[in-house]
Amino acid sequence: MSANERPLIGSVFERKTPSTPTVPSSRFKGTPGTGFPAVQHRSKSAFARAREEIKGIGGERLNGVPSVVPSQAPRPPPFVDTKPIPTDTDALRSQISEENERKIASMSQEEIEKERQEILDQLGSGTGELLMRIREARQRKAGQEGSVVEEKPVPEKDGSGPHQIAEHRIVHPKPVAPGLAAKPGVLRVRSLENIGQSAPSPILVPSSSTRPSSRTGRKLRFAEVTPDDVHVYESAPVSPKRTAFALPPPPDIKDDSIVSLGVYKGDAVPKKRPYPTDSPTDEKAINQTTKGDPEPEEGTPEDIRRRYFPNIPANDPSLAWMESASSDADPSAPRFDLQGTSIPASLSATLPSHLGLHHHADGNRAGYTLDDMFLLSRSTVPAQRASMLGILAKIARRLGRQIREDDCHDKIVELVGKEGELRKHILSAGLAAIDQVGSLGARAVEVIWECLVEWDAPTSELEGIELMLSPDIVSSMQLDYFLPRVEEMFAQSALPKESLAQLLAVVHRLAQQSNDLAETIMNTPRLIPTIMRTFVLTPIPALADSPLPKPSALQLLITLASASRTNALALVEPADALLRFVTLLPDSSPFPQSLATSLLTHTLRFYTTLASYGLYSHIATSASQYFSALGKYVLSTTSAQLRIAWASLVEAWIVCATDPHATTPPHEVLWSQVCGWGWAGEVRALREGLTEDEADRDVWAAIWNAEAAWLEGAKINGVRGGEEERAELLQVLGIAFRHPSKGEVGLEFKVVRNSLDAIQKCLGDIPGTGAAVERNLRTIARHGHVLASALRLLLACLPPWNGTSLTPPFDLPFSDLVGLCGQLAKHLIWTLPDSAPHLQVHLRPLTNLLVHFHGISRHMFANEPRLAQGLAFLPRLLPGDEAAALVMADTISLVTPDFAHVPHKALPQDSIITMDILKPFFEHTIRPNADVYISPLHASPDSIRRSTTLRLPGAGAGGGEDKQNPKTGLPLPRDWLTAPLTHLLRSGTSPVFRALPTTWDASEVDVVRATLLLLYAARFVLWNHGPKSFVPGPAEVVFACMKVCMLEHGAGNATGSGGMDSSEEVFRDEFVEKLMRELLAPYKPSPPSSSSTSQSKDHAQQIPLSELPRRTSLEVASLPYLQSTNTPFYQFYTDLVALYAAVSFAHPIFGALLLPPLAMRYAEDYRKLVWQESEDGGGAAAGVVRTIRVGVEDVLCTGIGLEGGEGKPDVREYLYPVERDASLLAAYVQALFPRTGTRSVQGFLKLVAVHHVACTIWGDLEAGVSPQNEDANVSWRSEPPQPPLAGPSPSSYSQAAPGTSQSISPSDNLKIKLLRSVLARGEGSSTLREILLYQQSPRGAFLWPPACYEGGGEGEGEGTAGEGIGLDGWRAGRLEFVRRSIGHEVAEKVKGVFMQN
Amino acid sequence: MNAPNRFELYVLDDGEKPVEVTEDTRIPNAATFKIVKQDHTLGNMLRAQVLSMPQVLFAGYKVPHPLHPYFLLKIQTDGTLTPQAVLEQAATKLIATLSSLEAKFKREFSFKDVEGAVPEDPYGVAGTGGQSWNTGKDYLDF
Repeated sequence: MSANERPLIGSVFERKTPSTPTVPSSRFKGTPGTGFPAVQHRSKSAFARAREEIKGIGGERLNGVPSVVPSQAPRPPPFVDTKPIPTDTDALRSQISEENERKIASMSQEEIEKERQEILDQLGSGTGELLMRIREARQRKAGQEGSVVEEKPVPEKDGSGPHQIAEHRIVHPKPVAPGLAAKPGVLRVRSLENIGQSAPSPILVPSSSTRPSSRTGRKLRFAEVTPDDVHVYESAPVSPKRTAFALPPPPDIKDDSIVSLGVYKGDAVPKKRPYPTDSPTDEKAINQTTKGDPEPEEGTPEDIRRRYFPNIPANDPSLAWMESASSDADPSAPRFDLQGTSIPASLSATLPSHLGLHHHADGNRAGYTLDDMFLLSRSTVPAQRASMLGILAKIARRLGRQIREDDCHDKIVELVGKEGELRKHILSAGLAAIDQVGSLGARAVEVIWECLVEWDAPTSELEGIELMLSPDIVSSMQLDYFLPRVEEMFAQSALPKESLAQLLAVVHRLAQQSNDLAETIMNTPRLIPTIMRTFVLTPIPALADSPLPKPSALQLLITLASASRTNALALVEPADALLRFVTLLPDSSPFPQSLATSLLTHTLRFYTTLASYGLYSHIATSASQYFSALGKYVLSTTSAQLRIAWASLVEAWIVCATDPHATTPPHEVLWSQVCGWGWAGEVRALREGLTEDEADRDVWAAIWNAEAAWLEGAKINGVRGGEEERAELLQVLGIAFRHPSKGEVGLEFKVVRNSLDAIQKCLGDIPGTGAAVERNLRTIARHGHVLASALRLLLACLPPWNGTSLTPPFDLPFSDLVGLCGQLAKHLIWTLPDSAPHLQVHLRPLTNLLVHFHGISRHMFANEPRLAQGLAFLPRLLPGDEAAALVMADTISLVTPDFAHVPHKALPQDSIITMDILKPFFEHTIRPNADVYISPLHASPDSIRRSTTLRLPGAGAGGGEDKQNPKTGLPLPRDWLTAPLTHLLRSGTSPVFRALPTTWDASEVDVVRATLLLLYAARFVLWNHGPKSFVPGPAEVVFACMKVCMLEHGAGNATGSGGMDSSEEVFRDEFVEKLMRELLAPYKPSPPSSSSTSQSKDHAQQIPLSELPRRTSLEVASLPYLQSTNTPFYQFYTDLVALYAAVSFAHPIFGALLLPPLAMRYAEDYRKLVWQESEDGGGAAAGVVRTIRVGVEDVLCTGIGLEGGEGKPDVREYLYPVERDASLLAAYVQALFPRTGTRSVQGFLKLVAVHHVACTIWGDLEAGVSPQNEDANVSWRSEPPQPPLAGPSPSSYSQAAPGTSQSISPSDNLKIKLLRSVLARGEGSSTLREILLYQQSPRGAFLWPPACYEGGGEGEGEGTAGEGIGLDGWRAGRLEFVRRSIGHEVAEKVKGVFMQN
Repeated sequence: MNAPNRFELYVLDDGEKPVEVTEDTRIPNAATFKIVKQDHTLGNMLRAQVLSMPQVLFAGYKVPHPLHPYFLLKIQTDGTLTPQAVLEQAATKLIATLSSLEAKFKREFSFKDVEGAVPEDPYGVAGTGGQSWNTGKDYLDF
């Protein structure tokens, strides 16, 4: 008898307490004689009453009511047998009466009387008789019963009593209340077997009674009734809310009308999870009752169906609504704990519930799924919402990390790939709560911060480019609502400091995103002033609890100002307030030293940003004393960041002073002032204490840049071009940059040297992917910056260019720099940012380096290599380098006919070709949008006046809806050299022609001449000096020539001779023709005999084509031009063919240009266009084939040989693989054998037609084509002649050899039909002979016509073509094939052909 | 609105010459014919007819502007005939072809009343397949 069991007893006895006279019970007070509780008025709550009762009963009862009782108390009986009950009852009863007697004996007479009276009072006057009767009955039954004076409930005071009862009840557990027992869902269906087996209950429960008529009776009754005895009839109430009646058991006879609901099985309410403490008896009972139970469990959909929809079959979809939405259906859904770590499925099922991980709607599993969290994050309970947002924030952090780092160790694998979508969801959950107060608002801010800022953490410092990262996320933020909210939150400052800081970071991230967003932020009312007030303009001196100013707020201002000139103008006003960080230098500042330095640095950077627009430079004048103090302080401090910021600011202000008209408003800072302040000396002094260490590199770069700006300004403003200033500085630089060969190596030379080595090392091992790319790019950018600055300084030290090369004023490792720039130009580093466009910003120092290098190269190199450099560097330049690109593009004016080695006799006499007429086109290509001026990396007087933004356009600026109006033309497309042709072709819409200078009066022909000459020269110099990958590929050149041909002269010109004089066509211009021929010459196959009569002496022939870049697909090459209008190349080609058919007069070059798309590697549509439609009589290309009389030696082979070829132009790209399309083959035949009177196809196209027809007919030719026979074919060529007909046929015919009657395969069918039609149509013609004797092979040397038409070359060892019956191998085979497929008669005719040749 | 009058498409102006010939200065045996108040209907027919002549190296036509009712026909020959002669011959042949077509058509059309029945194959034997080309090409069946 353990303490555990007490609860059982307690619950039973609670109802009896009132019968004890000593305890005053409110329930039975004043209700004499009835035995029923009095009516109660609920003036007190049930809890209060219960408490009172318990208090009254005493401490023992208090312990006895633990909450777990209901789940344990009712137990179904292990057996239906109830026999032991009476014996036990008797024993108990005797024991009780013994005790009672003992008790009574100890009582006095009055006490006995009093008790008696009380009982009578309560139970009525007839009690004595009733008791007597009961006793008699019992005695009759049992026969031996001790004398009982009084039948009386067990006295409460006696502790042993309840224990006795408890023992009794444990042995025979019973349902406590019929109401509970009969509740739907707590009954177990009684099986048919059970009905048969179980004996009827010994005591029938009165059907009319749900309450005990008397105490004893009740007790007994409940003791006797087994769960099997409780039945619910079909007519019972169906609502689960209503209590079903306990009914008598069904009759023994089977009655179909009675439906058992099941057997009570204890607590049938589904438990959330099994308790580990479950008693074995319980499980045993369940096992027993469920054994062999075919009917579905109560309450299951199946059960409901059987009961209420018996006519509807199982699994009927119309009943699908009953199926519970199984919460555990998707156990794979990841679950998370409160820290945002995912709980593995194995663990989630077993975790205990007190961890707070089960407060979700469904399922037994611990932890919250994402759906749970999103649901609960909209809860109306703020605490719930806040905690869910907390988890979401942590999950967002994890997801962000796992998407950033490939080797993240704790990936949530279930969510890999879904990060972006979840990010949006989580963000919107956070945004929905942004207007809440208290911790919920703070959590919401955290969620937004995690999703927006922390997710893209590596870019949080990135300035100078519109990030354009995850635009969908940002666009989903509804900023017009969000930003005012942010402003309010800043203004109220109700959130904790950390949250406000996060919110500031969010705003900063938005400002980084794009210039438009920065503008939006600026335009949000009161946002910037509030931020200023909250984070910047904190009281000085700082109060004890007031917040300190935040450098990140200054960073936000810098970002906003760099976004656009408008923003910067608006920010000039608050800029004054920042002066407080300058006037109070860090050593006298009330703020901590590091904070003060940081604030000062950021302030200086902000001023630099403004100065880049030429704004706010007057502060240098009006606060000059503070800045001179600052200059001295900077010299004394060691903070590298501060030095850099100061040097950059000085540089920017010097640039402002260089041209006083460039600043806004003008004359804000003057050169004389700059001289007066002695900034040059200050900057020079900055190098004190610097070393060649890694840490000081950036400081060096900043100093050099400032000095370069100083010298550049002095060149304009100084006396005699700044000669003195240069000399002064060179004294220092000469020592600092001393080359090792001239004595002790200079410190700054060492710095350059180290950077050079470092960058070359980095370039050597660029990893392909991952975060390492960015790290590497950063390193390269830093070192590139150093090198670019050194070159800029060198350039500034040179006097103004007067046309003569100069020796460098100080030493740099020039040869290595040359190598580096050459390596850079072709390095694949430029393609790295394709995946992450914002990384482009790291390449800016490199383009800067290239630009400065190109500036110096005129002192070092001749024109040709310099032009090659320009052409190679130009496509690398990035947005922001437009000014430099224009300067670089000017080098093309070096190109003259002389320069390009064009023979003089080819020059047109009537005009001079100058490249200057092309300039407007290139200018427009480089800077297509006059409204956008992206500032270069280092400001120039021009840029501070004009720049509209300091940031590079982000990804997507070149495409999308901006395609029509891109912000910049850089980086240049590959075909930029032919840009003038593009503009000519689109002269109607090209903006260039609207903005041409008045002095520009070139004709169309002039422009084409110049462009082609440029293309020619570019190919030449790039080939000889530059990286080969920049040499235009064959397809690009061919496409450029196609564009020339497309220039329709005089179209729509009704007056004059529009179109009447064909000699006016551009492509007929003598010089244009000549240039096109030269351009295309390398792609023509060289004839077999060294016929050096043609242009083979030209230098272009020296180019070994195998090394040319394999840009061989016209479809690819045409993309830059056609993509902007969404025109497929096929459409362009159709127009070209139509134009050829209309106006060309069979111009040979034009005709040759039509051919390249007919090569077999292009789609057959091109061939069908030319071959088929031309024969239909209609269509654009009508008759084209017969007018193209291009010889084989003039064919353009853009494929540069077949796969595995030697890289020479090989016309076999038109011949192999052999045509399979039957309609095309028919077109070939049609073209070869036209109607009488018309001309047949000629030249190269005839070769093509004969080849494909012959190869289809003759098995021996075909055999050489199929890949598996490649090798066999080679050997076949050298095979000795087969014996004449007597021997076995050549292998290629062996399949058909045995007999002619065998089934003919479809391909044979095609062969025979083709052969028959050829024989029929070409009877007697020479073309037929050529087809019969055609020889060609995909391998080895190409058989030129006419050799290929005559049965192979002479040197082929096939000269044994004997007279009479002596036919060699393939001739015999072909003859045999004719004989077999057509007939003997025809074969005899044909035989002559084979015999003669 | 500002569309030209319909009749301007086919009525010659006063003194306007229907055909102009420009001999090409630099290309041998080549000439450009400007035929006014005509469109693709004649242009395409003439071009096809000219092309079918063995002496012709090139023939092409274009309508420079859809609102200008003329076309340009460019002909280049191998020198045995002048482009003008080729065009004349072609025009003659074309007229002959068309008149014979007209005669045939009228004759067949008159049969309609006599026989009162449509021939079994309204397209004749030549059109055994819609995809057939010009003449009976039996090898086409593959």
